[in-house]
Amino acid sequence: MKVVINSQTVEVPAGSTIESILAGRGIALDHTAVERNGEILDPTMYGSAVSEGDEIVVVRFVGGG
Amino acid sequence: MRIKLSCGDVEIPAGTTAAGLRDSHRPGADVIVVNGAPVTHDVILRDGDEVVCVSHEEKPPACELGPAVTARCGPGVASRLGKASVGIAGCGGLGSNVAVALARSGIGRLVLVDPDTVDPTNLNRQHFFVAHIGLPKVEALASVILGIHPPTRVETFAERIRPGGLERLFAYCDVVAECLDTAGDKAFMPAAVRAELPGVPLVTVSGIAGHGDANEIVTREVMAGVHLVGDQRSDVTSGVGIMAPRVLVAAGHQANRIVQIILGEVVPREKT
Repeated sequence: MKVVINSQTVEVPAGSTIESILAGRGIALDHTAVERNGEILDPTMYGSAVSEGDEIVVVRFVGGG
Repeated sequence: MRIKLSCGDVEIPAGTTAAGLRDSHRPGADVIVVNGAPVTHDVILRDGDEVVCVSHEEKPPACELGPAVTARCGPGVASRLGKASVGIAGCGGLGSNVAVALARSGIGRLVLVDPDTVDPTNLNRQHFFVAHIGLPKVEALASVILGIHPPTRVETFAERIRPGGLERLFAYCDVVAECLDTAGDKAFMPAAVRAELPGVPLVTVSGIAGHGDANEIVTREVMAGVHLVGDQRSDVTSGVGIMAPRVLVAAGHQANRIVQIILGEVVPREKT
């Protein structure tokens, strides 16, 4: 199944979730904001399955302010 | 012919020059600013011009102070920013400097939120002074803003920002600036702002630590209505400090993007 993550088309296993995709890339969930198809996701949504063609934006935050 | 002179609109005869207006309004004023630029050679004023006359050694009357402070912002800018309200989520290195930059630009209202007090380690990058040590940051920052641009209305909340609390804190804000410390706190803001403050843009920051190339700090709209400043990489970790130069670059990016948003000048969203 193909999805677009940060403008890159990538192949992910069927049934993938935001959580599994981020975990597979070593991205800490609690340091990340995610938008799917124009909707910014509440972290409680990270367990929901992604669909073919979803456009996903992942922003990783680092500390400092 | 009608022009805007410091406190309000005035009628002047056609052909009136900047120096002529100065002589009738504030004789002896050293600086005449017309439409944001100081006049070096006398000019004939035109309908709608914005004029401020100030003396180097004289504090203007209260009603002229605000227009004098913002005279160099350019025509129409301060009057539009003066109607706008910005939420400052965190008043440390980013928030204190963003708030000061916006106050200098004539912003109408700032909502300052931070639970901390000023300590000496803050002074390397935050807009506070030794005299502020021990004071709540929001109170210290409110006094700094009052000392720069008194017309800016300031509301303070000495409390921590959590999801679910944004609607109460940032009611009526046109833009929110995320100026928090930790990656975890930064990360919850996009979803929280979208849920609790629908339609309100967020200007957030990631990647400002150390003293690497300041030109790597950029501003991009990474999600609809979410503008991200930083190099997205430079983390605060053991062995990597956080210093005024890069923090001020980022705070400047943040404040400038907020100005652009309020003035309706934001470029269309770019793809990440």
